[in-house]
Amino acid sequence: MPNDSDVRVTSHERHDPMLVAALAAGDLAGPDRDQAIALTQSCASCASLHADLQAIARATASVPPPIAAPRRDFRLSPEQAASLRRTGWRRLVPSIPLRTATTRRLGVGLATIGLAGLLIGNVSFSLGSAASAPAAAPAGGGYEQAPQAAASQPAASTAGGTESLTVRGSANGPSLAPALRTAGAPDTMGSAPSPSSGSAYFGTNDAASSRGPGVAGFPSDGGGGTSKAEPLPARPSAETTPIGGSRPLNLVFGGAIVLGLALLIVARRRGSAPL
Amino acid sequence: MLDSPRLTLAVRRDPLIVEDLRSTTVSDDPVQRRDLILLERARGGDLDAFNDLVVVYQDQLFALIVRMVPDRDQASDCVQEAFFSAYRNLAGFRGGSVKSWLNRIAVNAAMDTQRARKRRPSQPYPELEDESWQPPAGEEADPVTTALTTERHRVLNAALGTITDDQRAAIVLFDVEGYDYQEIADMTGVSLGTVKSRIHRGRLALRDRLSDRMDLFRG
Repeated sequence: MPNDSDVRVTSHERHDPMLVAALAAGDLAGPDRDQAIALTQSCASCASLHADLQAIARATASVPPPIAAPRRDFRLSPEQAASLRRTGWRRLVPSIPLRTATTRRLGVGLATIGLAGLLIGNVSFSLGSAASAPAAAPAGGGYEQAPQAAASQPAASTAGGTESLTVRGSANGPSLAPALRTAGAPDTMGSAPSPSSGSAYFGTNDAASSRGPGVAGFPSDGGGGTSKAEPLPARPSAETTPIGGSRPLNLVFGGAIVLGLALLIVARRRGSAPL
Repeated sequence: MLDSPRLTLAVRRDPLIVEDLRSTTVSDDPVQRRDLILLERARGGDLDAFNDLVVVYQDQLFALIVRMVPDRDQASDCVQEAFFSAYRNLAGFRGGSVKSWLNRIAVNAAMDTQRARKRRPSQPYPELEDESWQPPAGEEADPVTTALTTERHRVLNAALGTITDDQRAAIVLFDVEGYDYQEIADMTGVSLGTVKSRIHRGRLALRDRLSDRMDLFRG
C-alpha cells in the first residue's frame, strides 16, 4: 500500500497544469474555473504552481529588456527612402482591400483551380486523342486503317467543328493517311479540293482551315494538283481533337495559376509588413 | 512642432480618413494626434516627418524586439527592417494607433528573423550571457533589494531566452507590452486559443526553468 506522499505525487501528476495556468492567467470561467479552484485547494503542488505562475507573470511584466538601448540610428537616409519607394505596379498592391488571410486563401484557391483545370483538361484531351491515335497514326501500317478509324470518330470531328467526316475517293485508300503534309500546297485541304480530282481526304472544312497553311493535306498519288507530299510523324489528334477550343481554357487556367501565385506573393509580403 | 504652419497646411489639405473606432477614440490623445500628423506628412513624401517617428519609437521598438530576439545585432536589424517596411507601406496605414502599427510590423520582422534562425541554427542568444548591462536602480533602493531585483531580472531574461520563440513572443506581447489576446492573435496571425495556449505553456516552461530559483520570485 503506498503511503500518503506517493499518493499525493501521483495524483498531482494526473492534474492538468494547463488548467492551473489558465486559472493563474484569469482565463477560466464557469465549471472549468470551479474545477481549477478545487484543484488548487485540494492539491498543494497545484496551489504552489498557481502561485508561482502568478509570480512569474508579475515579474515578467516588470522585467527590463536584456540589452540596453540600441547603438544604431534607425533614421532613413534620402537614398534609402528613394530605394524604398514603390514604383510601377507595386504601388497598386497596398490598395487591394483584402486581408492577408483572405488574400492567401484566394491565392491558394485560384492556383489550385488553375492547376486542376489544366491537368484535367489536358488529360481528358490526351485520352480523347489517344483513343483516336491508333487509327490516325500512320506508323505501323496505319494507312489502311485510317479511313475506318476516322469514320468511327464522327463525334470527335463534329465536336470541334461542324461537319461530319467525309471520305472520298476511297479507291486511293492508302493515301488517306492523316499525317501527310502537302509541302508547297498549303491550302490543298483548307480550300476544299475538288472531288473530281480523284484525291481522297477526310476531315472537316473548318478543322482544315483551322490548321492553317500546309497542315494536314494527304493527297492521293494522283495528287489533286499536289506535286509532292511528305509523310510526317504522327499527328494523331490533329484531325479530330478540337484543340482550338481548349486553348482559351488553358489560358484561363494558366491565368488563374499566375494570379493565384501573385496573390500568394502579395500575402507573404503583407505578412511581413502588415497594413 | 505641432504649431508649425507647414503642419497645418498638410492637415488642412489632406485630412485623415479615420476608418476604425479606435482611431476616433484615441485621436484626442496628443501623442496619437502627433503620430498621425507625422504619418500623414510622411505619406506626403516628407522624410523628416517619418524620421521624427523613427526617433520617437526606435528605442521602444528595440526594447520590444530585443526581448523576442535577444541578440543586439539581430534585434537592430529587425528594427531597421521594420522601419523600412513601415516606410514602404505608409500608404497602407488604415488608421488606429501608429505605435501598434509599428509594433506589429516589428513583431512580424522579429518572427521572420526567428524563422530564419530556425532554418539556420547557430549559437543561442549570446547577449543573454552578457551581464555587463543592468537596468539602473532607483535612488531609493537599498543594495540588497537592488541586487535581488537585478538577479531576478537576469534569471528571468535568461529563462525567457530558452523557451520557444512563439511562447516568448506571446508572453512579451501580453505581459510586457500589455496587448490583449485578440491583438496578439492579429499581430501574430494565429487564433486566440493558440495565443492563450502559448502564454500558458510558456509560463509553465518558465516555471520549469526557474524551479531552483523560484525563491527570487516568491514573496
